[in-house]
Amino acid sequence: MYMTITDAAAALRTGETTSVALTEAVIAVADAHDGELGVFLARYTDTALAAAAKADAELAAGIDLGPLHGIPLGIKDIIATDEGETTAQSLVLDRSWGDMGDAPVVARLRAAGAVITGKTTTMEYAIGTPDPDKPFPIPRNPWSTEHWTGGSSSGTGGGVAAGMFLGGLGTDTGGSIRFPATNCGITGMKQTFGRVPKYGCVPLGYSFDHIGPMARSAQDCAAMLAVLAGHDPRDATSVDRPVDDYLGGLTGSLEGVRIGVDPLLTHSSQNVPELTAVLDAAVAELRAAGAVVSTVELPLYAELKTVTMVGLAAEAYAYHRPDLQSRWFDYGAGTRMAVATGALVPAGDYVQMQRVRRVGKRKVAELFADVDLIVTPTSACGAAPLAKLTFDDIIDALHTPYWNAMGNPAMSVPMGFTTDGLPLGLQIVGRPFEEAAVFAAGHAYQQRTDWHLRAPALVADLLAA
Amino acid sequence: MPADPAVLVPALLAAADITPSPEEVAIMIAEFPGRAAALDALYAVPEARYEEPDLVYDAVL
Repeated sequence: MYMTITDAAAALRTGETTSVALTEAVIAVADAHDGELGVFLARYTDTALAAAAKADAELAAGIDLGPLHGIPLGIKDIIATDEGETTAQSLVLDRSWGDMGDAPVVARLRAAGAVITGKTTTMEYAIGTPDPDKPFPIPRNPWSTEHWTGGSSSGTGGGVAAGMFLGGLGTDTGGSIRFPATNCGITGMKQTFGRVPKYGCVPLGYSFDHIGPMARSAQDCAAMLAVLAGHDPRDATSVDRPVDDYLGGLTGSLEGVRIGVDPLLTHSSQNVPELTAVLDAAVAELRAAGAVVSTVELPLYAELKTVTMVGLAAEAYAYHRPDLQSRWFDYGAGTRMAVATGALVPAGDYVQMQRVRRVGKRKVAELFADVDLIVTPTSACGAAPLAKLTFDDIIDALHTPYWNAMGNPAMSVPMGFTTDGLPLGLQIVGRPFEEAAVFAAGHAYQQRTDWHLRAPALVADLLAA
Repeated sequence: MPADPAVLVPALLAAADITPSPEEVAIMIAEFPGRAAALDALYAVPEARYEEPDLVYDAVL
């Protein structure tokens, strides 16, 4: 049952499978491997099976709520759900925080008939590194359990890759959807800032945070975003504008689409030798689909990466200062060190970040006058070994934070593997609110490749059963 | 002359009333110059000299 959401939705409607069968299958994978992979913080088996049975009854009665109807999903545990508490994978968060019930994004998924299977692991408060001294699971990569899934949407990334659900929600402040997506060989979309409401999600960096979809394919993510997108006044940054048709433009053709490529090789010390060849092969597929490819250079790359990483720390510090003062050692080591950076940033520097951000927005818009999309590697390398994780090395390798400062839609799709068998991702970026163009490119690429359909050996036998 | 991180960082932490371990303070001191240089570089972006910050305040709730 290693299916895309798209294929599962079709199978549900032909009678090839049922939502209960799909849900039982993913539960069986979780029963077998969650202990090793650290995907879930809480599993909602009974309510998931009840929701699946309801979906089957509705579909049998001719009530069709769309492509997510009856589909098992996972929810990152910084997003509130009706089923249980939200922990942010932290000893610090007041457990009454999530008493509001479903966040708007979860309510929208539920209204679309999705089956909520549980809450997934995260880096504490969506930042830092795994901390073995705290009583939470260590997320391990299904492609190699000695390696990290990436984060902070670790459980959703690992869970999709392992087949414990078909899609799920992550959040992305500096790359926390796209990072586990590239590391785990799945697809993850950080749409335009403000496109999806963040109410009901524990904040990290208020002006950098996004909730977004993670799944096997661009088409799956498009189906999810079609449900997630839309205004909610409870989020001050939520944008009130119509939602585009994300699925309608998935033609498989990129005829005449202008794509700028920036390999970003000079911006990381961790490029794997095979990165260039893997990226070149991916770009060749885009060209074969009809794209007109040119080389571009992202303006103010280092400066805007600084804006995101230091800016989010400053914003997070404002939220966490009282708890940092009174409960320093209750936080995980990586989280408290990353957030406390905000105490060392002058207020004037924070304002300067916002001035540079505006300059960057103008320069990127000028770049997008010449191209319709930009592609880069998502990361310079594959997943890092858990035994050698450092936050600085993670940030050095990632090419995601730039786009949190800018707010453009940016999606990671699998584009191959390192020689060690670890997934690599291609980042596809569009103009603000042009998610449809990003999905169209990702879909065209995935029509020509099968990287997104590969299953980790760890679960291949179980998934084939 | 730039302030000495070994003086500045503990002072800023004390002002914030947060008390990391000595080992953690040492890491923060070691990391401070690199981040300060990255922040200084933001003032070297010429187009930002007379730019408005991307901050929006709305007087209506």
